[in-house]
Amino acid sequence: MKASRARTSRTLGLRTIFWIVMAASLCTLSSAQASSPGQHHGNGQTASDNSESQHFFFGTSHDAKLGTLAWLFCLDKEHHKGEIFVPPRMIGFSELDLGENDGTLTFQSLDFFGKNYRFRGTLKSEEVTGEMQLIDAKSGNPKDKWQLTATQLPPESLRAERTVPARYSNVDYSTEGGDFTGVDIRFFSTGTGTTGMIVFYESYWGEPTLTPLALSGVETTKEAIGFNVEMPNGVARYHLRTTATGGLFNRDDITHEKGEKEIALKRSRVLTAVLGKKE
Amino acid sequence: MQSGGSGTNPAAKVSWHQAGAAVDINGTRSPEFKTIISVMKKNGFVWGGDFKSHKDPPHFDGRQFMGNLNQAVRKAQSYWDSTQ
Repeated sequence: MKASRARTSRTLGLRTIFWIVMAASLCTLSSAQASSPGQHHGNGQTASDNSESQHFFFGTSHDAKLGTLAWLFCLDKEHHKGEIFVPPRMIGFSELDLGENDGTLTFQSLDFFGKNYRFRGTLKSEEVTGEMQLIDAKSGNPKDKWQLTATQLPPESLRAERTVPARYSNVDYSTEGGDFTGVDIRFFSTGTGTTGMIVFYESYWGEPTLTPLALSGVETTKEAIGFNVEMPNGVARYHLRTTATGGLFNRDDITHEKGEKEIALKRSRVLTAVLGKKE
Repeated sequence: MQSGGSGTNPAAKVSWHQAGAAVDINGTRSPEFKTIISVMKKNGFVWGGDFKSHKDPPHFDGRQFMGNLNQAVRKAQSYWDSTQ
């Protein structure tokens, strides 16, 4: 009987310790969760604030594992700050150095998931060139690096009032699963043509997820927008059949099952807004 | 396949991904995905496409195995063996 009581007491004690440890772990996890999708990092400014002094740049890099990466960032010389798009949101800079006379440009993003982006290069005649590094925030060592060329987007490129430029998305967040789902496509006018980027939050046909990929070969007709995305296993071709509220999205270079429906995306007015933020 | 989940929305309290009990499988529109759903569900995994709100098609989690990790490991091992 005594032995049994001692065992019960020990078990209760162990259970209590277990639940204390579990509760502490949950608190740690909760506090590590920095923000909701509508919140912003860093200086608290959103991409739509100070719109007159902000200049958006769109660029590309080649990545052997992922394809042609797309970069979207903005610089605000007047307020000496900037932001870079890291899906699903724009995140602020922790450092920005715009060389007054020599055109040098360096910036570093705030940390996200123990990493940050660091750029070193030049800004000349609305063109940014240089090296982007992905830095391990703890060690300060680069984990990856890319050569980046970006050009400034004309302000009218950011006004999504027509088919292009525009943003098409069905991105949603599943609280139960803890994942973003869907796809987000943004078209920008460059003055000489149309460019853009696509982020698959859910990989429909094996595409890399949570990675902004650059669009090429954008063709716009009255009924549809067609574009290519370069990935390591080749170039994929997609289309977006425009509708009154958005578009119907599908991939063209693969065989589809009979009866498979196109993916409905909604057109959105704000190209640079973070996901989840009300327009 | 990513075992960590997108995890970019920390609005969630603790996800199955953070608990180490979920995977996201790429290619939700690929012809093989129906087979994947069928095999995973047959082996007791919860599919995100069955969620009541905010469907999460790439998501599979083993929430019912969480009370018995050995069972989860045995099931995973058994499935792996059956595919070899």
